[in-house]
Amino acid sequence: MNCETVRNIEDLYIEGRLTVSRKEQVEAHLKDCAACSEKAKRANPLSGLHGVKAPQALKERMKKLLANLETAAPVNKSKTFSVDSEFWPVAASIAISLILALLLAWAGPGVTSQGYEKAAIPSEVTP
Amino acid sequence: MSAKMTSFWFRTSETVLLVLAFMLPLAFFLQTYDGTAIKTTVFESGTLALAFAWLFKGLERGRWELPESARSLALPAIALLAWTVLRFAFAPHKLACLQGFLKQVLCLLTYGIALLEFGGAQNARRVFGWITAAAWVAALYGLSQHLGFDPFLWKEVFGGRVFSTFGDPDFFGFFLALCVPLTLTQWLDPERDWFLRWVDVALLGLLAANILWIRSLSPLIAFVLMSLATSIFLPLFFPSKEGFKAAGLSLILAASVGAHHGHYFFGGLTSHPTQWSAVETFIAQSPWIGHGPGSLSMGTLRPDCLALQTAAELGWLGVALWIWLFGSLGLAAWRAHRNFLKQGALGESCYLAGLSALAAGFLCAAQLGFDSQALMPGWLLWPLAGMLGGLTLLAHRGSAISVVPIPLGETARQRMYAPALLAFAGLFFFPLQWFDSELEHNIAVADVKAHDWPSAIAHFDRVRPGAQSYVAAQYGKGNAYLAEDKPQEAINAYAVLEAVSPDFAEVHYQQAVAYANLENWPNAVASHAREAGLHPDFVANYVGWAQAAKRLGDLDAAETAAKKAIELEPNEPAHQLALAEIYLKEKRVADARKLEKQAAQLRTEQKKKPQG
Repeated sequence: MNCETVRNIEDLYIEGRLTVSRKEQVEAHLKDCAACSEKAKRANPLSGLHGVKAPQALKERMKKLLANLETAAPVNKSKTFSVDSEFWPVAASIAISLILALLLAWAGPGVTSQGYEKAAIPSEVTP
Repeated sequence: MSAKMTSFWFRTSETVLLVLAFMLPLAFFLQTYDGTAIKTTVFESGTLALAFAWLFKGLERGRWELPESARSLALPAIALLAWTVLRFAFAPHKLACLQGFLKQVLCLLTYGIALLEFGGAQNARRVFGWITAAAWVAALYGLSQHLGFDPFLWKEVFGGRVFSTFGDPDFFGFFLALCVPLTLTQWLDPERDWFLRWVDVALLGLLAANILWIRSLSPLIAFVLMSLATSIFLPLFFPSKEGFKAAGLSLILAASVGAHHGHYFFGGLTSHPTQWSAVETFIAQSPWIGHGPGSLSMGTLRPDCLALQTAAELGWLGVALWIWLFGSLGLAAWRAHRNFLKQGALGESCYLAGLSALAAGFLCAAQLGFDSQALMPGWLLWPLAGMLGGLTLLAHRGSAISVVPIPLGETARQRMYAPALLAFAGLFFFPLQWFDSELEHNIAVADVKAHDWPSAIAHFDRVRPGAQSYVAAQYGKGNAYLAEDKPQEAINAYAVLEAVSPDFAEVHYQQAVAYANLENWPNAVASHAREAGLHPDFVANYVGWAQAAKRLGDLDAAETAAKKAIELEPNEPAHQLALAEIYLKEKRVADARKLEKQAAQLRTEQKKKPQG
């Protein structure tokens, strides 16, 4: 495993999500490569924090924030134009239906396309 | 790693999937009303774009990932893909089977990408939304056809039956059936707005009405089966008051449609065993490894059964791989539903139920109708099955990830963009070129109908190898030469066809006619004999065979062929007279006179019958 390979998967290694064999390969490389080892340490914001406890004041602040979030009224944020919105499929189907309806109204029955009276299927090719 | 670019490629693949889900049901080519060629082009180019967006995302991140929990769902798909490719590599007629092979490969790729990228209730919500939006448009167009407002000339192609944007009532019907679990799942979605739930109910009504206007057995069965599957899976995987209400709604749909056209169920199914036995004979020639992907499209066999089609093309080994794939998917869904219920994941439970209902209903209905194997709606199974698999992965959050890392730094990876984009553009060229060929073929068919043979031949000549209609174009070209009284050129065109697809349509009969025009009786007789082996009930072939054998001097063979024609059409006086001529050659004057009398009697009886 080279340095580039390790850098491409180091976030998964830091999160502890690699398979055992892959993790062992990364660790073997980190043991031999000081540069990668240093980079991995810097990339992991929690490295060296083993055994460190959060201060009581921080814990209290977090609890308050969570409680506020639960009781707060839902944010009335319009999702109409976001990609997640259900608006787009509905809008697209309405638009295409309208185009189709306009086409029907404008053309009326009897417009010819290319002179086909039947579906073009190979068996009909027989002269 | 650029998170922005990674996100861009993910959004690109997502957009491509949504565009495919919306466009494939709706795309038809207005100029020629070609419902298949345009869908094939959209499908091939769209799936290519999807695959490349996924590849580029991996290139940007420097790796491709496969969660450990996805292995059981990815392995059978990889095995099926490998078997399909391997079987195609050793298939004898690759050019004729190319499109069928590509369809299977691209469907499996879609499954894989949906499995890895589009799990999650939010993704399912979006895809369902776009498919049902397409269903609205297609169903409204169906309504306008039923009311007689279709402005285009093709409105009469299927009599009074509606076919909407699919160019075929059965394909349209199967799509409507697929939309039942999708619409009811949306109705059940706890995050759905109340007015959209009413829109869903209206769509269900429109779907049911359209399925009745199609007046065909297999989509009707598919609709009922899909509704029944929905009524089982929604309350099972989403056990709530709303889940049971949705089940009730789908049962009402199944009952109302089934009761309205129940008589079809008893009359129509009788034709299946005859078709199945012909396919079984075909399968028996190569039961384990099949005849290769796409091989069924070379002949006239239509098994109307997905399992038999798979067995014919990929052998029982291919069927086993299918069972492995969908069995693993079913097992994963069952395990995931329990986890979701424990976690109280309502959205996930709801879409797991809908996708499971769709996959189960599809697989049941596909055993009783050929329409499920059509590109559209057949393709929909694959992204939705992949999404079902992706959704089950969420029940195993935090599982380890297998990675395929790229051993290159960011700059080196960025340099790979240019060749990758070139490869994409190169591959993208093929579907476009094939679409152009389909247009040429359509124009040629129009020329044939106008009896403009030179123009037809010129357009048939422009159909490129690999296009879906390439084989049919060679056949059409031969027939056009024959109509132009150029039998030698016709024989040459049929020879090209034979090299690509030896038994296409009625090519041996056409060859025999061309040989007869050249008075090459031995070859004419040989071609008639080959045609009879493929189509034993083809009367015109026996008539021609009797003539050719008589001219060759083989009166015994002529007599046998003429008798076969009489056996198939006992009331046709021309067949009696043909046999009488053979008897005269054999100096059996009394027998000949007897037949001539019978023929005269038949003619008199036919004249007495009222015309029309």
